[in-house]
Amino acid sequence: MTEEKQIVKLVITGPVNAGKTTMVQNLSDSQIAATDVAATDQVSQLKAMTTVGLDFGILKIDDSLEMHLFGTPGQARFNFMWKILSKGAIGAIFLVDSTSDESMLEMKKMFEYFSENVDLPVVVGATKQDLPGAKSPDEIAALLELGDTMVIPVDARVKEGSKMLALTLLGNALVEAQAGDEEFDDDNYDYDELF
Amino acid sequence: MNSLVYLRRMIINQKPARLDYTKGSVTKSIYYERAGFEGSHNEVAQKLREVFEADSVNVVTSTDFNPLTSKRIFAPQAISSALAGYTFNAEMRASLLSFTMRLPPLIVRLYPMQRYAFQDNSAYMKMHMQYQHNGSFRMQSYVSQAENTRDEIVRLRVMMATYILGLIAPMNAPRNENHQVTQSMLQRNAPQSRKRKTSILSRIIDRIRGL
Repeated sequence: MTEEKQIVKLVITGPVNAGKTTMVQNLSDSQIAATDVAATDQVSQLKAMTTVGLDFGILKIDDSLEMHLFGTPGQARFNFMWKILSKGAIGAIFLVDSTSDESMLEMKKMFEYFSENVDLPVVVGATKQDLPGAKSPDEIAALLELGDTMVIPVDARVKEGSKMLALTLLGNALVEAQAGDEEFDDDNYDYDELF
Repeated sequence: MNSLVYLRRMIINQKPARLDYTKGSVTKSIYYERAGFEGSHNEVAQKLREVFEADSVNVVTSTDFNPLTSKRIFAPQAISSALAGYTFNAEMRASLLSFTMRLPPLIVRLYPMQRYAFQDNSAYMKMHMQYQHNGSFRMQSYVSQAENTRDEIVRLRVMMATYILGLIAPMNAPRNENHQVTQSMLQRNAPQSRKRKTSILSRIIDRIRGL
């Protein structure tokens, strides 16, 4: 009898033209689907092709575990998809174009929805930091009212940048999970133990 | 040096608590609830410094406290303020070094401490970079690599802040557990579910590091 694989999800989201499709590709063994179409409306001014469905990739972790990567469309009108995507997800990465005011506005709407409706570990990657007019991570955090969410400069085109962002998200989630494992029975706890 | 342990437990626990501490013959208290310490900015910073150096500490958890003021200083802000410019004598240094030696290999969380005016944020960033680079972090090495006394003080302050605020945790996840994890298990808070979650996260981290 073959053992059923465990599957967890990682969601990569954010406004249009921030680098989500590239990050899904960078972190996947193979990209199964990229639903790019020729952009219309305002998006066509930003790039020729945009994602209308989902980018989807798989990273095989070991024989019994797979991580499925979902790159979700970069428009706030697709927020409803969170309800489905967050089930079984281990975290979310938001990418935002540091040079674009439109990207910031869209990101603010998306993040507000996320904060109110989704309970997942999250980090924000600030892309295009090398371009003129890019806002700094601290400026972005203040502008988007991100609270305690970490904003990290990232070059989404570079595999190492994608890895670093994912590792930061997962490392943060791991520390939270480990800290949650600490037992707090005040009557019986030995305070000589450090954790 | 177990005042750090008490503070960490109080903050991670996220429950109303009173920490009683004694220095010499004087006993004082500091209250914690709703993710913050009760009191004004300066009062809290001063009391936390006294807690660091207390002869003895004790935590009482209860929901039945009568706060004296509605002012609360959010824990990262309070710890940042208490550690701003904080220096210590030879005895305290020895205690902190001894405490550091007892820490196991660690995982490090990246948290926006600069938003709470943490003066040693750049040293904390370097610490996280070391963790990212090596996949685990040894506080002993980090502190012993200090270039001078001043640098050692900074690194010990970073150790104190990250430990108390729960930004470091032991790297002891059961990496090879192979349980079936359902979606509901991932979302539940049961300890067994958390162990499975840490196992999954550790395995994914190892895999991504190898990409």
